Amino acid sequence: MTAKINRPNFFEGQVLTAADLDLGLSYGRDQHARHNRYLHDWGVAEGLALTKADRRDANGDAYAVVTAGKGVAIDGDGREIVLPEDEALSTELFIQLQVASKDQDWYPVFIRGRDERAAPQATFASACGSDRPNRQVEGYELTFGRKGDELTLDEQPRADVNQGPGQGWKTLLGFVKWDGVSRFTDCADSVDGVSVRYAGVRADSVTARGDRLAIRAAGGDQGKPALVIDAGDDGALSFGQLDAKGAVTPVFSVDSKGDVTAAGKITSAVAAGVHVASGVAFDGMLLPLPAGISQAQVDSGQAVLHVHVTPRYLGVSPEPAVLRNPMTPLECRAEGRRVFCRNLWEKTAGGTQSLPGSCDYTLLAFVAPD
Amino acid sequence: MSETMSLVIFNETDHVLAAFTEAGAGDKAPDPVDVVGAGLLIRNDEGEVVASLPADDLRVENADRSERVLIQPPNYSFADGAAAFLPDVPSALTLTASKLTVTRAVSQDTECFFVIDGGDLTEPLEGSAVITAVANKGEALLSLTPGQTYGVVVLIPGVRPIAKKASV
Repeated sequence: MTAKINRPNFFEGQVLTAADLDLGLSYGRDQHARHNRYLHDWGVAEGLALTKADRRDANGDAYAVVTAGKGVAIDGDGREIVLPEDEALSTELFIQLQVASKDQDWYPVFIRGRDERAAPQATFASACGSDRPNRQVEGYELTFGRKGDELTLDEQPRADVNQGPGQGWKTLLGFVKWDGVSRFTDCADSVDGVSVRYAGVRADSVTARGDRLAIRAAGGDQGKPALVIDAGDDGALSFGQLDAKGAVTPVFSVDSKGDVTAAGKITSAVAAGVHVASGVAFDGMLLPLPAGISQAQVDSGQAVLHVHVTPRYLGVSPEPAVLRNPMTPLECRAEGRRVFCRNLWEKTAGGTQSLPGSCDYTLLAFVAPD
Repeated sequence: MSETMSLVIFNETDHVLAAFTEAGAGDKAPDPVDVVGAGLLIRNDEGEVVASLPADDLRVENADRSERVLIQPPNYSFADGAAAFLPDVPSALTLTASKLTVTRAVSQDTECFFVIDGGDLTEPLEGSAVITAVANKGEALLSLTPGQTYGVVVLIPGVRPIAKKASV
């Protein structure tokens, strides 16, 4: 058989063989599998969640009936696997597969596609004088793996580029907990950091038809987060929550000039080096930290502060009718970020008055490289 | 665009208790806890720190920059988005183990707020009292430990903050 792809080509008067008709079907089926295989990431596309129903036996011992919900998966060969109805997982199969290595542990649950011959359709069998099956069931198998089998799913052999859907590729649905004897006791969609993988898009480029490309979380309801690339006004990238009209209220955005606007604090990815804050501060308060530096980083030693304060003296009296220059600094210092500033003023009526005062500050935060 | 400053304001009375600027800061005022930590320290006329006003009682607002406000913010309150000068009106307070008495001439009943700190208190004691127009006096019952020295800050709307240290 040639490695090149063939498609049927019919002509008037042609005697159609089963092979011709099969080729007509397999051409589209294989093409669809290649689309799934190369333009999508494999995984659960819809449903297939594991759920449990808690039970107690006659002795009062707890166990669980675990069920895989109906749904659809795309496997690594591009095969579409459909579980048409909810189906309870088989403890008999679990025991038969001998995957349990010890008591009370989690084991992966897989679904894999499997073609099955359907029973012959009576009408055609009698008409053609044959009892050979003329239907193929695109079936499935709910099965189990040994502990750790979930870590090597990407290493399964994949169909070649000219091939259609294979069968046997295992797609992870979750995990069951085995009681070590004969029953399940729990189920989970994530164990030890390994989770159900969901089908995705495999692309080097995603292009909107218009000026706006949005990426939204499930549902796209009001309050859900979304990311928008908008080509209007020279272009911008925005992140925020969706409003009632489906528009994004941005809390973070970058325009085409590279200007970043963030409603909140940027606290991560602090570059090593020196970060500076400067300005004027009043007695008793904490000096502001430079943008991107948090008190937690200072407390942990990731950022080391150096503070310089000087009395603020511009020749301005805080209340000219009552106080006049010269002002004499009594105290101007910093303890950590806390500033202590106090000045002595001459009173216009005679005598002096001590008042808390302001300082000019420079705060340097040194962040060491990782 | 005019230059701005940030004001640390007592929520209940809109007294400005501190002011600051930060070069290159955005339009969004920081959270009070970022600039006062656990609390803003308040001094009495002798320069002693008498109390720490909890960050929960404070907010930060931006306003047009003013040098006089920056060097003496307790002379101002915050009204209509700007700092408003407060007159230096005589007021008095007396602190005993069982009572705080605030004396101030008022034209109508006026609620004032107080914070007591220090002594054997593990955290500031906060409350309010109504200065009546009839008596020009407001009182709050307390249960402090005799022999201890406490700092007290009283904030009366329209009047500069009063801070004092007293042994009870």
